Amino acid sequence: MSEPLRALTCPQCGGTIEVRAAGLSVAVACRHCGSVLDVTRPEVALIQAYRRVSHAFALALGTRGTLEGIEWEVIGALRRRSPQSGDWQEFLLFNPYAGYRWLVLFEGDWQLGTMLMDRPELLGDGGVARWRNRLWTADTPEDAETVMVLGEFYWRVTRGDRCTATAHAGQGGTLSREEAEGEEAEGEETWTHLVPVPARTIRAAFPVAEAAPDETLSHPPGAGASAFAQRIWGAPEAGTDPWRLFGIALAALVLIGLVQWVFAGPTRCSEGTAQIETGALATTHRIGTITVSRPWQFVTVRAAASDFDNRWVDLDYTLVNEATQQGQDAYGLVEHYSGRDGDGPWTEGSLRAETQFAHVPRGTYGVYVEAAAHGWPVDPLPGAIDPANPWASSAVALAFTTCTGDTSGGMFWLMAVLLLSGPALLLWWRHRQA
Amino acid sequence: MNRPTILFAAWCVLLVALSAWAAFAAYSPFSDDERPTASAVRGGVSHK
Repeated sequence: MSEPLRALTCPQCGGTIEVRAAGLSVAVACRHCGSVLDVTRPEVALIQAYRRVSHAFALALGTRGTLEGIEWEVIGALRRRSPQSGDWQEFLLFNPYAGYRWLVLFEGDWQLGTMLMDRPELLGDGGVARWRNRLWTADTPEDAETVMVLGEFYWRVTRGDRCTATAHAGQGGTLSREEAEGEEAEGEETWTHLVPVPARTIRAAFPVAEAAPDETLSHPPGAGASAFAQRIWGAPEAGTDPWRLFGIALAALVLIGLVQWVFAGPTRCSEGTAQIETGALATTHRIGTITVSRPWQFVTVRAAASDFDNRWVDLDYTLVNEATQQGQDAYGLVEHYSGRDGDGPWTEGSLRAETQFAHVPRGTYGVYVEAAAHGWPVDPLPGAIDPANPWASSAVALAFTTCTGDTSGGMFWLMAVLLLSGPALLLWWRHRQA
Repeated sequence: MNRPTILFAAWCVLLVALSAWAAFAAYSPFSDDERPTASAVRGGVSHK
């Protein structure tokens, strides 16, 4: 009987490979070049040449960690893929006294797997399995393929291995049934009992990589934003929950709304009216008096026009501080047009307008408007309004309401976009990965 | 909380603080405090 191997030289790249479960492992994937070797024969046969060196795993080979009171060493790593679920990682743990366990990482969730010696019994058409007096319900079978191999294993594993995997859900975990495909292992069936393990437990036990550098294999093809998103949000395994970020963003948005409301008040309003002759020179009207009682407040002027069409009214507002006579200007516009073209009738504009002054200091202000109304496409000629009465007025009647105590809706929505775009981007990224 | 969550929470705190300052000073980049030049064409239809 030959001596179990403990260290060997890769015939593909010449790198030194340490066999951790010497005497038990039958296949070893070279950590330097990725080639898969048969270590049951003294000459160490090359099973599969694979030049691509990859460290695209969350756990590095050879790292040790304690789970359930047992110190485990990561001796093998697989990346597997199915068309239904995408990619996931599996790590083979070894302890000389406790044997083997599996750590499975899928979409940030970890599971610890134990291979079953007592096979569950499939009932009926296989939709339900009975194991240790409990029933486990089968999910839809998936076709899984091994896309990357690293480390050593107790069976002959190669890249491209295929199997049919079926998860059976039950109380306290999942039973995974895998039926191998291919000529050599056709029909070979294995069962594994998987129990969820919190990510923080794994992180406390093992040094988990934040981001796998091999992004082309870490994520499905076409995920072009992955590298950028990973730099911002970390690896998918890092488990940043977009819904938690949405919760934080919404809480911040509610707080912003409250703060705006608290600093906006108190509310005081003043009303006034003006008649603006169409086509005439601009005229100035005093439309109210307003008092700002906080250090600074917004002042909003709302204008509502009488019914008119195909005209606009330029509104140059001025707040004049009655103590200092200093003025602060703002501009508003009321316009409404209608017509008919090849697509039918159309209208444009509104008979109402809102103008907001920002950063208005404490004080009492006279509110003035310099207004000029115009017709479109030209100012109406005498008689155009009422042919029977050439002197009929073409004036536009405007009613103004000036108030303090408003908030800035633009600021609120700007903050909403800045707060929610991050979680939305993360959610979109996760969706693309899925 | 992991690092991205902490960074995002810090971003939220910064925005809340900025909003509080803007609300206290009644500042908004969207206000209408601007008088266009007298020659500017203001009204007029933009339909087609």
